[in-house]
Amino acid sequence: MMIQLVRHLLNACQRIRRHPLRSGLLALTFALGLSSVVSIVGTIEGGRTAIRHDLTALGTDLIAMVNPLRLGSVAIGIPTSGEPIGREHLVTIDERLSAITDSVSPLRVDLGLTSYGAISWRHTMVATTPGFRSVLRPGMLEGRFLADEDHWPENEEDVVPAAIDEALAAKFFTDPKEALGVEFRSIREGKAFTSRIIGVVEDPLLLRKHMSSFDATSRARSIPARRLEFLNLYLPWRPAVDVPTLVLIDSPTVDDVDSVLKEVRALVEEEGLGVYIHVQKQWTAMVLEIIDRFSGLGHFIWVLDLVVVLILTGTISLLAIEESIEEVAIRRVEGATILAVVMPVLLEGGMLALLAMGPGIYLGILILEDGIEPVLGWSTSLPAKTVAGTCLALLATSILASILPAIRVAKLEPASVLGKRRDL
Amino acid sequence: MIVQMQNIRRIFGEGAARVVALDGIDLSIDPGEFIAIIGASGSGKSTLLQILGCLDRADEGSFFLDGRDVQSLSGSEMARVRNETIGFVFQSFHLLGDRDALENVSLPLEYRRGAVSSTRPREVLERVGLLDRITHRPSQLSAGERQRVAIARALVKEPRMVLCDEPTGNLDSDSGDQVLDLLSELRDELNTTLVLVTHDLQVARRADRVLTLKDGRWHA
Repeated sequence: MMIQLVRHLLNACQRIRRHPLRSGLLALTFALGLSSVVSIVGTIEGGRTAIRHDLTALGTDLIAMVNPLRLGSVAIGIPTSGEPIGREHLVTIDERLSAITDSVSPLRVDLGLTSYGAISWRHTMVATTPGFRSVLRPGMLEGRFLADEDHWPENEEDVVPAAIDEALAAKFFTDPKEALGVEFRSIREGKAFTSRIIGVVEDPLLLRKHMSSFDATSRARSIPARRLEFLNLYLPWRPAVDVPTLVLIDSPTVDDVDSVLKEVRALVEEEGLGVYIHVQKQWTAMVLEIIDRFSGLGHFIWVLDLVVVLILTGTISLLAIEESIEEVAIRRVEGATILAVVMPVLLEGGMLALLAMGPGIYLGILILEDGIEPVLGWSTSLPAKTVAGTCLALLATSILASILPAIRVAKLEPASVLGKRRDL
Repeated sequence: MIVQMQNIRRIFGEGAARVVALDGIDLSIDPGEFIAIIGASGSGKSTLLQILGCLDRADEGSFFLDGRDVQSLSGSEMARVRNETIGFVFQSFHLLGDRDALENVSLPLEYRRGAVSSTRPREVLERVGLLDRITHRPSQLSAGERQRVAIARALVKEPRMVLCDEPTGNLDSDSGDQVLDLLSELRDELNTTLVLVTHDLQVARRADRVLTLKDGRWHA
């Protein structure tokens, strides 16, 4: 059995060696097919990962209790019953929810103006507690976020410790990291103060750097839109002074949002609060579903690509076997069984596919790194499981492509092939 | 008795296209015997040769080759019989064009079960006088040399019987005589049964026995 298998392998090797053009063409088809699959899968998986990361960074597991907005004495939006969240509610909310959440952060959001040198920018100022750090998924680009020891100074002339978003820092410096340690002059609610930057918050919205459509949000003035912009200066919360614009509740995971939301609704009911409850998960889930569809399209292209490889290699193999019909007939006459002539055909396809795998994957990675990443601007991702699955699928494709020629060989009647040349 | 055929019938097609290629053929061949089969085109010579060579099966009748009931063998068992018991020499040589003489002669041994002698192909080529041509491809050999390579390929199997299909049909008379001389010598040396199909009566006369086929039956 082993001797037979070795003979089949040697025969397959001979077939490859004796027909270098055909073998090269088949291997090239396999390699190009594999590289295109790798580059398509890598691009789609990378895009999916990048978008998921960005969406997660935006807060897929966040619940916001938003106080109704007022313009002077005029309420904006749908009227609510109950009273807005005040300073006196914050302790109750924190006690009730801190055990089942990562953080409960009151946020006071104001529009303000910050100047440095000859540059001034209008942006949002967010006063919050150190717990807000858990909401900042990408983390810090440089320095640290506000901590317990960072307080608003009692003396108005003293410097206020502050953290700044990467995007806002980029308005003042070529390299946002240069903002660390810099003192800005700002105005909030008509009062001027000096802030010193203790940390630069990394911009979570990678897409915004590359997609001009997001620039449209710069003209928006709503809080959610401002949140998208991430042009924030983070300032210490003043417990005795600041009134929350909203309270941001960070659930441990997306799966916990529903249970936390239930607790929040019960709390709102019990405390008689008149707030809007905004759940990020709901809209991000829709976006993630779209991404999953995008990923499904990738898998369709993946299959389509393999089918094209199957057709091409199958055609080449079939043409090759048609050319070697007489040789097969001679082998059959000399004692080759059907298995003995079919096996080398199948093994030849499998061996060529194996030979093409390394170069195919390498070429695919080159396309990803040098061709696709610089254009799209996000890191491509190539899961090992996907690569292994693609290689297995290619191997199966190569064997499938050899089946037609193998069937042709198996059906061959050597006497009828060789008999055409007889003159009896 | 190496070959024992009784009432062999082979029919191709159906209805109006029905052709009876062999119609009740009886044939017995002794070991070492040299027989020639002659007949006109369509007389059934090639069909009989295919059945004798285990390349085809009879529709009716019994066929024992070297004591084995060929009619009951499976496809792979028939392949094994072809590989171990029967040598083939064709009019058109049927050598592999991209292999040299030594590789062509070694071909049957690729399908031999168990260990094979690696020196055997070279020995056989030496016996047919082509030791200096072992690296030559068929296109680099004369017609007579090609046929001698084909004979060497048949003999490398050490067959009990060699089937020759017009072995001199593509050769000039000198080369043809050399090939027939070689076959006769090998028959004498190895006691191999020779079955030769030919149009040429001169060639047929070299055989121990000459059989004539006409319309699928023996003709006296």
